[in-house]
Amino acid sequence: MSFRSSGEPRPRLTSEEFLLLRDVIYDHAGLSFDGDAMFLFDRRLSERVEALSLRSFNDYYKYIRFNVRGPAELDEAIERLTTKETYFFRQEYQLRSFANELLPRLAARNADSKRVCIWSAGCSTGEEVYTLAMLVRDSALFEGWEVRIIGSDICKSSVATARRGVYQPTSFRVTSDAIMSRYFREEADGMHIVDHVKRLCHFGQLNLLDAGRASMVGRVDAVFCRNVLIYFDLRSRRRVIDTLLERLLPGGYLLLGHSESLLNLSTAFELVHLREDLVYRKPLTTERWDNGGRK
Amino acid sequence: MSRAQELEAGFASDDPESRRRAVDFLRDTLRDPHVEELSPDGDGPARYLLRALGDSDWRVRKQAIDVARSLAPSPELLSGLVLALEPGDNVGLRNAAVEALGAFSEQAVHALAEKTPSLDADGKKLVAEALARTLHPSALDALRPLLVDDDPNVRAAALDAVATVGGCGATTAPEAFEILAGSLRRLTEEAFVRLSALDGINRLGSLLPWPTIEGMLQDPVLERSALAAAGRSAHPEALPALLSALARARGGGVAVVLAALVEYARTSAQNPLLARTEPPSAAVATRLLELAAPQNDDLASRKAALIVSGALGIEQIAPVAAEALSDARLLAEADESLSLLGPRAVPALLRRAAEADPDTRAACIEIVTGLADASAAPLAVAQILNWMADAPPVVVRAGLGAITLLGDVRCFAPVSAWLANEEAQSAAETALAALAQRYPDAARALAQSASAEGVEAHAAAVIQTVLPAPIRATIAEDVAYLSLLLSSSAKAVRRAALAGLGNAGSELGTHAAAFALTDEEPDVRYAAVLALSRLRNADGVLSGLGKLLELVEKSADEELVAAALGALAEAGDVRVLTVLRPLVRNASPMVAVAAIEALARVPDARRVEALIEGLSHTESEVVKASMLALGDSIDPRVLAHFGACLDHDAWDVRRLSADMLGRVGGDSASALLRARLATEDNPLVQEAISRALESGHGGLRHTPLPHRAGSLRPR
Repeated sequence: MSFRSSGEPRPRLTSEEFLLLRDVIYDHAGLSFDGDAMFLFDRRLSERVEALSLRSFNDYYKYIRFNVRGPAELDEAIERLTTKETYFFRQEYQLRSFANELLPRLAARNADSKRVCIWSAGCSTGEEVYTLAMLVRDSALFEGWEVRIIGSDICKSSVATARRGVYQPTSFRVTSDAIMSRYFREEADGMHIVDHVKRLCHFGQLNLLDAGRASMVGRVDAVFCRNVLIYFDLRSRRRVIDTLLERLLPGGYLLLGHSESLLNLSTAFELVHLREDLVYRKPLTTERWDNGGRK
Repeated sequence: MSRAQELEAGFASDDPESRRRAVDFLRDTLRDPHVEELSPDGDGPARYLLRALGDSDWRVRKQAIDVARSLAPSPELLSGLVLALEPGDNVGLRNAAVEALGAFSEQAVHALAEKTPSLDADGKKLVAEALARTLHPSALDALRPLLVDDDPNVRAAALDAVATVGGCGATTAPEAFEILAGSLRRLTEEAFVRLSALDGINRLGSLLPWPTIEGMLQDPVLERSALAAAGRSAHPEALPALLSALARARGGGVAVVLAALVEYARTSAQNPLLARTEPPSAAVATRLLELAAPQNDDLASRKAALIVSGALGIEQIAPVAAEALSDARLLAEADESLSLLGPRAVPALLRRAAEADPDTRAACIEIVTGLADASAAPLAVAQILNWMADAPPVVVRAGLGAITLLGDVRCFAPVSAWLANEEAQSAAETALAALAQRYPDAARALAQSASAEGVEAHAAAVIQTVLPAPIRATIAEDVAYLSLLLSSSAKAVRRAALAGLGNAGSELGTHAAAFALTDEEPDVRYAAVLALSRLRNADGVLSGLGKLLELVEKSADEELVAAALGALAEAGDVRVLTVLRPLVRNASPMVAVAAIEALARVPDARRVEALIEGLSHTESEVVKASMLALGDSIDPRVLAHFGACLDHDAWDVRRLSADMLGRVGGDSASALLRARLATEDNPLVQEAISRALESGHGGLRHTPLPHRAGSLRPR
């Protein structure tokens, strides 16, 4: 492996190097990138190549594969490639449907256990998780209940950011003043989530293809998995959907991004028409399951 | 020119360097198989070597001694060398001969003994010296005639040689001591001969009865050596005698008495003799303080005076020793002095720490930690708490270490505050846990009133790792609080909360601990595994078992799986067998070894089959782990599998297999071992097989299990 000296131009990613890196990321995390992502790889990983004083992306590939710090660097690379910008109350129409139609259903269904659990799978820096907690609070349907809003992401730094619960203006594109005053506290380093909302939220680092780790989430009443499946190829998407299905309680809801669907992925869910949105639901009985030979 | 001619020309040269090179040439010639060319009658090499040993130039003699050392001595050379001990003018040859004979060790002893009777007194002294240099036990017998020689100088030289030979091995020391003590007891003997005996005993480090030593203290010739013996005696009456000698001592005698007192202090430190002794006189104390003072240029006596003063409980030494902590040359002795002084050193150490640089202050705090008793601790803790504010990490960590041992209820708040400092966090957690155990009521009150944020939450979690649950009204409340802390952005808080959940031990914490397995921080995930391994339901059944098994079966995180396997092993639940068995063949050696080590602890005979599967793993470390795990099995199949491992490609597997078969013992194992020994080419394995065959004759299991080295499990 060779190292760069200062003053040399930054390395450029070749097609071959892109394919090598793309495959190693797929093998590790099941994340799939097409040829269009070459620019993304070049832009987001070149800093790492330089930070490690490597001469080329080929050296970077070797570092990931064979250096003792390779696994940690692979995680770093995945973080850089998948970290997405998000903000509070994104896709508001879907959240409105969730608050107005699904939360009342969950409140009615779980009235005996007084427990509700919602999972944001692929939560990035936590805005969606806290948004869901605010909706639960605002609904006033779950006072005295055990409420758990779980957020998970493959990126370690995103999870750490989510745990901190401190946000900058870019996270507040559509947040109303009323919400801001109710659920945020302004401090020198940014807007802090108030404690009573934070206490409802729990975060973990999860690769959605690691069914063993995903099982630690427990059974949940609803899963938000929005704009996450786009990172996976068809085979991995099916595995992810299987995992989500397994985690959902019978009758639990799956909410995908506005451009995503289960078409060609799974027929294990039933479609539920809400006033403003379509969501998926795990059937109360398992008789309709027909993917993977399961009945 | 022949070799003999070349040598002759070289040795005849007037130039010492030519003669030295001739010696080198002689060495090369002697290594040549055609050495007989030098002389048909065979004594040529010895003649040349003796000639070189008697050369007038020391460089030639030195080279000749080196050549002689490298040779096996011929009879001609030996007889020539002992002949050189006879009276003569060539002192260089005699000294070189002594050196060369000593280097021949046992081979020279007989020749020297034979020659002794015919030598004069000087020659006999040289024999004694040469015998001493052999460092061989047989030299003691050869020395006996010299011990009864008419000439007292010969007897003294022989005693000196006896001490040298006696000091080179545990087997010779008792015999040497008997010889020396016998001479010492002979009161009619010349004083200087007895002195040789006494010095010899001192060199051996042997102990003499106090009355013997006391008698010799009155003898001006023997006194100094007797003081050294007194220092080693640890006898109560030796101390006043040594102190009295110190008061009288002048010049070089001071160093002798100080060395004896240091020896006495170190020997007596194991028993309370010193503590019962009356304080030393003012004159002695003053003398010791003068010797320990920076004005004394003699470093050795300063060091000794520091130790002796500390041992004698002279309190005025404390500031001197505390000051000396800054001097790297005196650091060890200053530390020893303060330690010997005990709690009485604390005030001086605190005064020194107040004005010292951070490193010295930290050193003072660490010493205070070990010395302060119940009466000194409150003041020390108050001072240390003051210094910790705005102090560099080295002082803070030392301070927290002191609080761990000495701290009281005042310390809860300041120690909790240090939990927020990453560099001091670990030390603060340890200190807080120790405080909680000493002051459980105060700790419980602190935990009950803590919020779920910041250091308060961290402190509460740490307290809950050591105090029995419930801390609050119910265990459910404890679990709810700790579960809340798992959302903390500080990983140390989450880790402590999990440890707290584990300590509470309730199944109510299962879900929270299981979700923490997804934590982004490895430390927290391992803490979650540990917590899960400690949670039990009302029937005492492991409530996290399902989660741990699920993790083991499905997770791709090898280190976490290995940790979970360790936790499952602790649980000892037989249900883990079905999960562990396939993992024995896991491609990851780390996982396979962890599974094997877990299986070894499962109380079910079916584990043997699974462990036998581990013997087929491609990684030798896994095979070795399986063998060790099977070590105590009495299953007859195991013997055959161990036998198969004797043919393993890896030598270390074969060696361990031999060890294990040696433990099993019996005819079958011996037959397997003998068969392998016939073809084994690795010396280490051969040695192990031979050892196993020896140990295996006695039957089953009488040798200890080999050390379980090479585990791949993460710590």
